[in-house]
Amino acid sequence: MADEQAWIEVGARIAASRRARGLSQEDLAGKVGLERTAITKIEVGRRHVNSLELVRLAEVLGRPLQSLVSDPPTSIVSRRAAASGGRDDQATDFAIEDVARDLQVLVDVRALSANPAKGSLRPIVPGEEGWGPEEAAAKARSLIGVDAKSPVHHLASKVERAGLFAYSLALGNASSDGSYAEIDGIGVAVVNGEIDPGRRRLTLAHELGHHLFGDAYSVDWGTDTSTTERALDAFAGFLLLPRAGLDDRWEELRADYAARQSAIIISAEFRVSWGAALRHLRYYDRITRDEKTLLESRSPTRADYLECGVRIYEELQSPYIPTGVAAAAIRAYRSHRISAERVITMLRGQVHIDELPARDEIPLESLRGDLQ
Amino acid sequence: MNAGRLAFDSSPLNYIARAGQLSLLGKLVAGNDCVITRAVEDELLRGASKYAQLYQISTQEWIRVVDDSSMTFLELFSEYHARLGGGGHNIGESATLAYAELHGLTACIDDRSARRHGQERGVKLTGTLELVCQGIRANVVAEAEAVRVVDLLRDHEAFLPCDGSAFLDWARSEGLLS
Repeated sequence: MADEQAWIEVGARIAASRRARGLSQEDLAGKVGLERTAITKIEVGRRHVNSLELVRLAEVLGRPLQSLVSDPPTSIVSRRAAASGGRDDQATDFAIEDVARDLQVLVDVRALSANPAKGSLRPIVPGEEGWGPEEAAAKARSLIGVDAKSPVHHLASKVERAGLFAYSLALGNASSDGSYAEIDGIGVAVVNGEIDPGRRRLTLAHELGHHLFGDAYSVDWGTDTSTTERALDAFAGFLLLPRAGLDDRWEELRADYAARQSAIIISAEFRVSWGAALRHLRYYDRITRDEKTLLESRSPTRADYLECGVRIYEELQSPYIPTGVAAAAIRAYRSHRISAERVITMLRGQVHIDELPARDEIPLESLRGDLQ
Repeated sequence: MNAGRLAFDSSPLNYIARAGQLSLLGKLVAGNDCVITRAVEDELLRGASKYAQLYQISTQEWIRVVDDSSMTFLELFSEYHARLGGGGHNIGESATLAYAELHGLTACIDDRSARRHGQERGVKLTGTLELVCQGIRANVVAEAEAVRVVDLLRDHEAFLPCDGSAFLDWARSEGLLS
């Protein structure tokens, strides 16, 4: 029976969502007001759930109803492993799946549409370590409206210009750094808000690579995903730390500061981690290998940054909802395409229901069509 | 109204009950098979802790509660919820539209977003004012009485496109009275 199989799948989705939230069957049973044995049966598809139980389960599991009864609207293109080694990819997968569903609704009601910038760059060819990613990063900078030298500030807003919507959500320490998915030509990235600010930006730059290179990369690179991911990491570094910008700024700074202070100022101005700044200074031959090793041994503290007269500006703090998505959701609400409650869930509670704008008045005339 | 099958969302029943007009509604829909989903019943019962009049809905003989727990229904319900729901809120509208679509009923809903989405998906719709207009046409309710009822409903927070004084002009211009 097709239905029987469908119930087994519903059960499996409920079980996976429960585990991703770190709940036992007993915990879940308590929170939804069912017996533990009922949860056991539901999870293997032997007990069917009614609409009210489904709503309760989705609420407690923090997932949209649809995620428990049907497959995600899109396949996840990329997932960036956590450097820590611990992995809880389920939480990352669910996060991108759920935002993909939000975007799918906005596409369906025609509040969002694809941007032609997507898939517009020639893929980086493997083996061209260095030159390929660097050239691609230079093109990407012009696509997102940044000149060849300047630091890329407000990266999340900039990538929207290329049709990539970036979320930052708290996914836990053990989760992946980020992931990318595509819905009807629209790109969406979720960055783990619990990693360091510099790494959050680097992760988003990496996801921009997935977005801009389109599907071509998988053809060119076949199944060797680690090569792909490495090339995109290189791309991300070059995007945030361009050779021309670093060369010039380093020269200027070194006239007044020691190497350590200069590197501190560069990492703050370009909003990257200490490690990434040093890696690129070394790559561009601004510091020697020994200098790099020495500098790496002592990461700057917040006081070190302040002493140099610079501040760490934290981008992509969780929860961050892409501006373009928030705008589209509110427009869809205003024109009666989605409900107020739905907008609030799409905005992850960033806007209160009382703050929503007045809805478009519907002239009585326009009601004629749906009254007859 | 001709014999038909109607699935009510909670809000029309909510303000009709609070305005004390359930018996009028009973007359307006006489001859129809009227149902509410379990989700709507649940919303009304929760609302009843604030407005005791809502308990009277479950005592109306012309309304019965339906429960569909088929996989097809849950899929439809979750699709509607993706546009209209928000966590545990707005469950009734999604369930009503899903049930009406699946079983070929007319959905009685006043909410704009819900109507719009239902219409897109080809669900037959009616609403509080349409039912009142049908009642006028069928001589179940007099025009003056209808005007008074529309005002009463507005007093109980019904989201209707016009008040009592504008109602008849509106209904005539819409061709709902002829």
